[in-house]
Amino acid sequence: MSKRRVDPSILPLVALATLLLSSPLAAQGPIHASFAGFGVAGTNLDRLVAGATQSFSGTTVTGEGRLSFWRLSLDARYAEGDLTDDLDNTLRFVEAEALIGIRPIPWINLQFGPVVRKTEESSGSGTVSFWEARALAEAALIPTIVSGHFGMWFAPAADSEDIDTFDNRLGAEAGLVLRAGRLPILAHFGYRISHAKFEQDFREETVQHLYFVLGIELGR
Amino acid sequence: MTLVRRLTLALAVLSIAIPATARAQSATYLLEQGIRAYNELELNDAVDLLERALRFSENGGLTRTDRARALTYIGAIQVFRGDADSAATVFRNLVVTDPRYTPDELIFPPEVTSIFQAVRRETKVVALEADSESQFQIGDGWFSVWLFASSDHFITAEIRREDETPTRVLYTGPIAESLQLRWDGRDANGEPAATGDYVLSVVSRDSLRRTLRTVRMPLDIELESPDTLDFPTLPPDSLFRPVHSSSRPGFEALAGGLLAGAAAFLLPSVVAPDDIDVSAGGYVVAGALAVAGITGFLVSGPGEVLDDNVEYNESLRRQIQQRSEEISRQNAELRNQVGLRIRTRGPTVLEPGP
Repeated sequence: MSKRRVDPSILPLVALATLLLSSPLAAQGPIHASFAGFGVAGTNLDRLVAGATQSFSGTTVTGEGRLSFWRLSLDARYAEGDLTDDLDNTLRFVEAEALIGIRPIPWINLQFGPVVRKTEESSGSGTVSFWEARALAEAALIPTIVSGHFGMWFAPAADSEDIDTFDNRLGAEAGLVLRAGRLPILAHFGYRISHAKFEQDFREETVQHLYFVLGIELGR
Repeated sequence: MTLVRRLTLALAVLSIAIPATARAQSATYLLEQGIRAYNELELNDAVDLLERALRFSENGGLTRTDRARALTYIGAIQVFRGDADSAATVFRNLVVTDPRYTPDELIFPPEVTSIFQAVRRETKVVALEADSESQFQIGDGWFSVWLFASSDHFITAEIRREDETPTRVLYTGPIAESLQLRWDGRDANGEPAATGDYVLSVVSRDSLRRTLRTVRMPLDIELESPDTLDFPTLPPDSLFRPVHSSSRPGFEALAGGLLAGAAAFLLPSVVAPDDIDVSAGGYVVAGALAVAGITGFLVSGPGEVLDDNVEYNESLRRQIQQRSEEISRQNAELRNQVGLRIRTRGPTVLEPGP
């Protein structure tokens, strides 16, 4: 797929405008409610090593949940599945994260926590742990029925036994949560992408998820 | 003149020098001595003593009755001396001073009283008597004044401002012995008289309605209005409820959805390197966000009329209107409870000019 390159510097401005315009809506509807759910995700892993690109794709099973109390939240997500490339090489992909968050204002959630990614393939396995900081804006688009969220994050640090140096990791996410009226059922639908660089741009990894999760709201 | 009389006269002359507080007693003494001289037919001494008593009286020595007595004795002496013109002049002054006075027929002979009565019939004047202070409410009381006439004649009585602006004509017509006039405190237009200096003017007229004399009684009028109630102020806007639902959520949903969709559309380009194939899922989510925003705008709408709030606001306005009308009614009643305080001063008699 061909695409145009956009100056990354405008993205924070877009995010800020989105946050400001949607700010009062965040207090409407149960967008901060605790929930838990399971679903599937279409996952792509593109790996660029020394100029050579290797692309894996497949379906991962995913589970996620949020515990929300007052202004605090704990978000957890887990995804696991087999990805294959054009040569039918299989890669076992596991990704887990747990982030604690705080809402300084009702419509923004600042999160921080570890994200662990593990890959297993015939040539070996590798685990990378990132420490990520996220800013997530949540807003009701159709009160009590549909809320949207948009966020960006970066990883200031990473740890891996297989990789000597970590350059950076940037990610973003957008999605919607649909609720079924008074029923404590929700559907979470979204897109997430992250890009990490290691060993002075010698190695790059891009992971994309298009996920769909069905869940229930807790404590409603 | 006997020695005793001369000494008495000398004492009377010396008494001029005594303090003013003793003048009443001295004037009365002179009056009594003058009457005694009259009874003893010492008419010259009597006139001298009586005139001195009257001069003392000019500074507040004799009562009005005593002044009338002194003048009557002087007039009688003029009659006895055969000076009818002087007697008539004295009696005319006496009538003007006190129109109700009549000489005692047991003291004065008929030739004196008959001349006095003739002068009284010819001298058209009235005396005014009113309380020194009256207070009443407009519509529930009046200012009362008694008019005593020297003889039958025609009068016009009216209230005027001190600058002679007519305020209210109280009476036009004949008067016999006495007449009570009442003033309700209103001017010719029916409005309560304003605070200020007024005068009750009674003009005595002859048969051709020509002015003979005018008696003026100054009136100090003070209008006493009760405090009226303040009208209720309009409540602040914060007490009124919005009559339209806010259009902000709709516009915010639209803007938020479109911007979030745009951001989602741009995400892959920002995060991923150029040579990475980007999943179409990002664009799907971007479209979904935009559609959700538009739907949110359509659902929330630009703001609908909130009937309950409209009814509440109208009820609030009705309450204020009713309160205002009630206060208007109460103020109208209060304005009808205007009181007048009228203080009178001694009347003066004005003779027509030559």
